[in-house]
Amino acid sequence: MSQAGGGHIGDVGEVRAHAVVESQVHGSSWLAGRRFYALAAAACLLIAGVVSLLASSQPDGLERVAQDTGFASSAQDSATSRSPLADYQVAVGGSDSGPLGAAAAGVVGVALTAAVAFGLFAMVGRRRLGAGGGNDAGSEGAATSSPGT
Amino acid sequence: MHIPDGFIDAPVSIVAGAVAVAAVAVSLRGARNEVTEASAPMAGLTAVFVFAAQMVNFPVAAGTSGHLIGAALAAILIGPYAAVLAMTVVLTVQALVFADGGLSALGLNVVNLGVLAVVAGWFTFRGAMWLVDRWSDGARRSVSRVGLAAGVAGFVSVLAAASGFIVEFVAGGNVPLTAQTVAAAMLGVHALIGVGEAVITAMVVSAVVAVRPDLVYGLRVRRRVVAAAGQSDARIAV
Repeated sequence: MSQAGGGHIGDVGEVRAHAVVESQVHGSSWLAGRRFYALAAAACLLIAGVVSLLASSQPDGLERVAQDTGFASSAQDSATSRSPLADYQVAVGGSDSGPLGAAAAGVVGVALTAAVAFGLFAMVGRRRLGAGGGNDAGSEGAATSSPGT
Repeated sequence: MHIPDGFIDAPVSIVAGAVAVAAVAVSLRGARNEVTEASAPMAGLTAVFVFAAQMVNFPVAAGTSGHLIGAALAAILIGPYAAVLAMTVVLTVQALVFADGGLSALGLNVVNLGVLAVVAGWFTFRGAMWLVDRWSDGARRSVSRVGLAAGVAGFVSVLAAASGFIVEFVAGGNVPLTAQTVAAAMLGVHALIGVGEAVITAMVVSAVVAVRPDLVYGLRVRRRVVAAAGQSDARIAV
């Protein structure tokens, strides 16, 4: 596997080495490297932005149970029910935004989740390296924290 | 199975919130052994997939739908501690931005969908894979066998989440109902939804195992076990 992008050859060695072993065992995949992530990200956008429009609007399992056994009426509106994206719709001027709004809400949700999750896991992954007496993680941190003076 | 505000009273919601905070704290530590700088994108991607897939409700019976929880899927793909974090991110975004699941019920939802479902899914997957290894030569584990184990884990994870709700409702439901009534209704419907969860979990895990087995945490753990052939399985299992 070619090391596109350069940079962190040292710290990804363990997993890369594992990937090399895997590719020897399983044969090289056309989804090696970043192509897998690109395809998976596109699939997520497609699911949230397009496939979700076909979703069933029937009550879900818990709502069904609540209706059947008689505690559905105890539900209260969420404090965030006035959110512009409440119920996976884009509220534009108070009117239902239709399929376009639902698609947009899905795409925004994917972007938001991605921002939070990638940020969080990047931190978790980096902290592990730092704790393990990491190699270039420290110098990289120093470089970014003091670029000015 | 997102619980809205109002179903469960404040004391039980607060206890669940405390349990959820503790679980996230433990998972932040535990995930250090699961997430590397190189595997972080896969963890983020898994959270995004869970969010997207949860938008797609599929019909399960007349007038009832369900959607993927994704807890077992996440545990298998990125590890159980990382899965707790991924599910918590998804549930928090849903509650704060999309009003899906109540705000005061966020702790309840994290406990059910983000902790119980993850733990049940992970140990079911491990157990199923252990059985697969006993029945067959460990070196000849096929994609379909991993997929089967993932499917069983998905099914069990849904029942675990439903069981969490039953306990919470019995402890603090705002409408007096017998435990038996709620349990029968919840488990019945969610056994059906669990079949959908099993199919999707099996399909997605099989697909990733087929094209990128190096990205699947559930296989990395097992490989370590195989590599350390002489050592006891129990030491590495948990």
